[in-house]
Amino acid sequence: MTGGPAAGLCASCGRPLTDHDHRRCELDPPRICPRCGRRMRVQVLPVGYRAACPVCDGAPAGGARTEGSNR
Amino acid sequence: MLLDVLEERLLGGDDPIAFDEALAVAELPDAEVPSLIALAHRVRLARTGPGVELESIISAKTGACSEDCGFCSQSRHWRSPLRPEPFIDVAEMVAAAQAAEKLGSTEFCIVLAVRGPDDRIMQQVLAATEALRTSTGLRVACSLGILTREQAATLASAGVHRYNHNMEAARSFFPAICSTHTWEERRETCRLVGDAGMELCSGGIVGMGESLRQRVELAFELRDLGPREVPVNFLNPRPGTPLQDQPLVGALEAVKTIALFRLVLPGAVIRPAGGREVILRDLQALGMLAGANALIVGNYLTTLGRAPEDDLRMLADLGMPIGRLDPR
Repeated sequence: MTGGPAAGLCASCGRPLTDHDHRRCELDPPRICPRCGRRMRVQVLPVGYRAACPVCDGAPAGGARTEGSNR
Repeated sequence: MLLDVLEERLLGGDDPIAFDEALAVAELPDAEVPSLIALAHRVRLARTGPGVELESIISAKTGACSEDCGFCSQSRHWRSPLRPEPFIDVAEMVAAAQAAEKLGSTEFCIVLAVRGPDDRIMQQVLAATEALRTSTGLRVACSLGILTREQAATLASAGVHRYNHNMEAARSFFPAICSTHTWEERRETCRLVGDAGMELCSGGIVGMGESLRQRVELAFELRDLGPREVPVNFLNPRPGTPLQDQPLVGALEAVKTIALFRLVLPGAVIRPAGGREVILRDLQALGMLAGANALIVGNYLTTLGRAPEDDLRMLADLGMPIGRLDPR
């Protein structure tokens, strides 16, 4: 989590980090862009996933594109 | 006593469990769960053998679904963090399927968040099916919602091996979770699947607020449909949906439910599916010993699963070989 618009929000469910138990969010891919707070484009695959912000991705300062595996 | 009677009957031949007996199984105290597991495992071995069928699934079109299923983060009726996505690039789907095949999956299911397929979606699915059949050795399954008779026949002709259409809940509970289509419409699609010559995959979701009786009702309603495969999903409450604050089913209750489904559907492929990570937690192996003979390996449609190597190691430790399961 960064100090951007999405600060204080869970990157997976988008709810505030302080008012909910987010342990189960470990089984979710990131869905909220840590830079701008928008919903990311996410494709879950049988092995891994890809996630990219439609706005920040490709920006000069570097985008919010991630690829991940199962936990 | 009940389990002794059931063992003699279920292992002895063609004398299926009765509704009241199944309800009594569902109401067994936790202290009886080890005995129930042992019975379900013996029934599973006798009726389907020791093998385990692995399947992988992919969300080929995500979100923006017109239906209002209360458990689903892909409905456009709810405010979910999930962003809708159009039909996946076929090359990416094939690569995902090849990765799944390397893990040991023998089934690959193309899943779309739609009420039912229109002509464009049918063409996309048929192209994807063809690509998967020529690029992998996987059996192709589809889950595209409500079908017409013609669509079912077209999918069967294209080589779709199995069609998933979960009944989701007992008839008596279904109106509490969905208002945009009926339980009877779902049942009709399940019948069309069989008529077209595809294997039917139909199960439900446990833990949406149904009673134990309604859980047993679902198992018996499924038995009437005669599915080859029964996915047993456990509600993993999704943020933004009406069920987001639904309490979780306990792990032992989940194990008991798997065993219940085995006793009611002794010859079926019983697959603990979505939510098993959250609900069964460290009891995954008990779920397999409770009568399951299949798993979804890897990730789900919008959520992540266990690391595949953990499931593969568990099955090896249990002495359960992986491979295709064909009807006996």
